[in-house]
Amino acid sequence: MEKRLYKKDFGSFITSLQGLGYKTVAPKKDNNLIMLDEIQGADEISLDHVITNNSIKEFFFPKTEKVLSYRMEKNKVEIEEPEGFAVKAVIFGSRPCDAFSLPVMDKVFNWDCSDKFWVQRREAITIVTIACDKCDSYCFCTSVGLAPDAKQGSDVLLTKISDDEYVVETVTEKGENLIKGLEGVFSDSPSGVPDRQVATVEKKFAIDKVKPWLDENFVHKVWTEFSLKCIGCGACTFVCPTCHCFDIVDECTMTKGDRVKNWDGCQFKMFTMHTSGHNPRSTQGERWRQRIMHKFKYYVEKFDSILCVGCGRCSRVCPADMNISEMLEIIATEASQPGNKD
Amino acid sequence: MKNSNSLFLPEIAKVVSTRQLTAMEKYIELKTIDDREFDFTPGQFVQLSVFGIGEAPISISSSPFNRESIGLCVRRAGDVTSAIHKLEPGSRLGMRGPLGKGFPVKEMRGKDLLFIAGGLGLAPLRSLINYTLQKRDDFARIRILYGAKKPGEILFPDELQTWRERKDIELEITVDTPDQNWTGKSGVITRLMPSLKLEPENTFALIVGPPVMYKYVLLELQIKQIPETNIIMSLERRMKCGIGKCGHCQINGVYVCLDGPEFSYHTLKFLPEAI
Amino acid sequence: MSRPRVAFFSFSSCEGCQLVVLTIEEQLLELVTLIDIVSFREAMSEKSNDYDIAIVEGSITRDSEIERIKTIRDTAKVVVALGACATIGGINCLKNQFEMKKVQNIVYGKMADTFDTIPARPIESVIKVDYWIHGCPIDRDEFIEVTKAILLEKKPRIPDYPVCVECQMKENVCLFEKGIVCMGPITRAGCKAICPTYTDGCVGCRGLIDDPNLSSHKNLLSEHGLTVKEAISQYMLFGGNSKEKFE
Repeated sequence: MEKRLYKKDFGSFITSLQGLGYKTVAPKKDNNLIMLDEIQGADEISLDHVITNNSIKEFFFPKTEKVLSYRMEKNKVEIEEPEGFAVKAVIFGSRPCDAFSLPVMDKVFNWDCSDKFWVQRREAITIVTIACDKCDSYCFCTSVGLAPDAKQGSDVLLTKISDDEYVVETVTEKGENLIKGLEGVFSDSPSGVPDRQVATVEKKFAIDKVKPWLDENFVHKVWTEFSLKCIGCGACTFVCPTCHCFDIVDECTMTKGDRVKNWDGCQFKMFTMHTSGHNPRSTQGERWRQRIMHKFKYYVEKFDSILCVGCGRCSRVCPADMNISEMLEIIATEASQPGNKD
Repeated sequence: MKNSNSLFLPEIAKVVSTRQLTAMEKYIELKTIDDREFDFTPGQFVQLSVFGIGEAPISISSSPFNRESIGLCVRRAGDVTSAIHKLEPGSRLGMRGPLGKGFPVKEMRGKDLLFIAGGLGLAPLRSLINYTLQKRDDFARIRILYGAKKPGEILFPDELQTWRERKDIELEITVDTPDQNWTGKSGVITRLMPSLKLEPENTFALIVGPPVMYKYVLLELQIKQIPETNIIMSLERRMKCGIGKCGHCQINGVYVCLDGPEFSYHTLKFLPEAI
Repeated sequence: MSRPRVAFFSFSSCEGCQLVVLTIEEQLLELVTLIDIVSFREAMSEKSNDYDIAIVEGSITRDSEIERIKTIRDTAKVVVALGACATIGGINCLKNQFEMKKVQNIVYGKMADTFDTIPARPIESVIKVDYWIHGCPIDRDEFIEVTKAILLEKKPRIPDYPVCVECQMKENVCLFEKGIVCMGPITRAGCKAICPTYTDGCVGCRGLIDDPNLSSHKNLLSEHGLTVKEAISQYMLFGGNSKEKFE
C-alpha cells in the first residue's frame, strides 16, 4: 500500500497512535545527542540527524531485565515470572540499518528454543522506518549488503520526497494494518513517480572477500595490531544493534531477590573468565578477533547472515578512534594479496 | 527439556542427601519437588541455582537409569559451588536442564570403549560408565583409566572397588603423587596408555579431565590410530544461559552448552579456540 | 546465629568515607538489624576490642599505624579497606614524591622532629585485605553491595572494567570529544561515572583497573595537548602508590 504523510500531520499521527493504545518512540534531542526514546507529543520529534546515538536494540533487548523474582523462607522457594513486559508500541523514525538488525537477531533468539522476552516484544512493536536521505563517513550499510532505503525488518517505510512530505510504503501485514487503522493521518498518493531523496552510501570494502580471509587467518598479527588502542570500554558492544551477549546475575536481599539479565560484551576480560582463573581469551587481541569472527564468519556459517548492519555507531562512539569499516577494508585488501601471517 | 515458559525459569529441586567425597568435592542427590522423573543422556549437565548467589553448570554424575533422582559431584571453587556445599537435605535449589547434547551413546554401541578420566573428569564419566555397565551386552570390551593427583583426591573409591571386582571390565588407577600408603600405580595417566592393545577402528575413546591432560592423551590416541570421530572430549567454558543465546561459551562460533559439552576430536580440529 | 560484630577504624584520612556510610539512610536502619556495630568513632562513643569485621579507612603513614593495623588484622576475621586512602593510598601519596624530611619541615616547621612520617601507602602493603571499597569518597551502593556480599558469603561484584563502560551505559558524550581530559579509560568503574556525567573529567580516585591500556590513554592525553609532565601529574593525583606504572 502506498500513501503520503505530511510533516504537519505528525501531530495527529502520534495522537492517533496514542489513542489506539500504542507507546510512541521516536528520535528526540537529549543535550547533544539524538536518542530514540518515548515521546509524549510530535513536537519532541527531531529528524535532521544521520542516525540516532542509541540503536533500536534496547526496545527489544533491554539493558537490564528481570527474568524471575523469588522469595525464600527456610526450605521453601517461590518463584514468579515477570509479566507485561511486552508493551504495544510504535517506533517511528528508526533507520533501515536498525530495522534490518531485527530479522538478523530473530535467528539467534529463536534458534533451538525461543526467548519469549525477545519474541513477545517483537510481536508487540511496529517499526516505522524513515529511509536515509543523508549519511556520514562512518556509515557502511552498502558494504554489508544493505541500502539506505532497504525495507527488510520494517513494517512501514517512509521516504522523504521534500522537507514536508514522505512517501509511505507498507512492507508487512502488520504495517498495513497500522496504516489502515489511522484514519485521516495519511493522504492518498497523487499520480506520478515521487522523487525519493535517498542518500548515496559509498561502498567501502568488498564483503565477499572478508569471510574467506577470516576462514584462513585465525592466527594473524592484525588481531594484536587492531586492538592496540582498545581500552576495553565496551561502548562498541553497547551501541551495536546486533550485539546480543548477556549476563545473568542474582540481585537480592537476605530473603528475596531477582534474577536479572544484563547486557554483557565479549570485549570484557571477565566474559570468558573461569572460576579456576583460566581465561581462554586473556588478551584484547583475542577478544577483538572474537568480535570480528562472530560478526563476519560464525554468524554467517550458522545463520547465513552477517551480524552487522553497517550503521557505524561502534566507530563513532569509540573513545580510542577504532574504526571497524577501516579494519574490514584492510582485511578485504589483504585478502586480495598474500599477507604476512603471525 | 524445553520449558514452555521462559527459558530462564528453573524448576525447584530439593537436596535428598549429601556426601563429602574429598576435601573439595561433595556428592549431592537431588529430586524435583514434584518428584518428576529424570530423562537425560550421560554427559548432559544442569544449571544449578542457589537463589541469591547465582547459577553454575554441573554435569550429571548418576546413571540415567536412575530416574527418580540425579546425583552431582560438586567441587567447591567459587561463590555458587561454595554455597552448594553448605546445603543440607531439604534445602531448595533451582535447576534448569538437562542441557547440552551428551555423549554419542548410539554411535558407541557394539564398540570397544576406552574411558579416560582425569581428576574431576570422573564425575560425568561415571554417569556414562554406569550406563554402559547397566547395558553391558550393548558394548564390547570396556577399559577404564583413572588418574588423580593424590590418593586423597580419588573420587568414588567404593564404586571403583565394585568396578575392579567385575570380571567384564578392566580398570587401571594411577596417582600423580603417591603417599607412603599408596600401593597402586603412580605417574601421569598417559603412562597407562602405551601398553594398551586396541583395535583402533572399533574403539571409542571417551575423555574428560583438565585441559592440560587432553593434549597428551590425544597424542597417545593418535599413535594408536584411533579415528578422530571416535575420540570424544568434554570441554568447559564459562556459561550463563546454557541455551545458546548469551554468547559466553562460544568456541569459534560453536556453543558448548548446545552442541556439547562433548565433542569429537574431528570437530575440535576446526575449532582453534578449543584446546 | 549471632550478628557479626563490626568495627570502623580511622587511619590517616578525612573520615569522609565513614561519613558517607552514615548517609546511607534507608539501608542503614535495615543493616543494623543484621550487624552489630561495636566501634564507630564518628557515630558513637562506645568502643570495643572484640569484633569480627573491621572496616578501615585511611592510609598508613606513621610507624605506629603499622602496629595498630596489624593488631586489627589479628583480631578481625574480615578486613575491609574503605576508600581510596585505604585501598590504593589515595591523595596522601602525593607527599611520597618528596623527601620525608622536606615534607616534615614544610608541614610542622620548628616542630618537625616531633612527628614521624613514612611514605603513605594502602593498608594492603602491611596486612592482608579481604574486601576493597574504592573511591574518594566511596559509593553508597558499592558499600551496600560489599556488606551484603560479606553477609551472604559470596564475592561482591566489583567492576574490573573502565569508567568508560558506565559512562557509555549512561549515554554520556565522551569528554574527550569535548576537549576535556579524563582518566576514565584506565580507572576502575563502580562510581556510575559520576564525575564525567557532570562534565568534570574523572580523576582516577578509584584506582587503576587490573589491565589498563596505559599506552592508549597516554596517546589520548597527548592528542589533547598534555605534556608528559602534565600527564604524569594527572596520574599521580590518586595514583601515587603506583608510580612505576606510569613511567
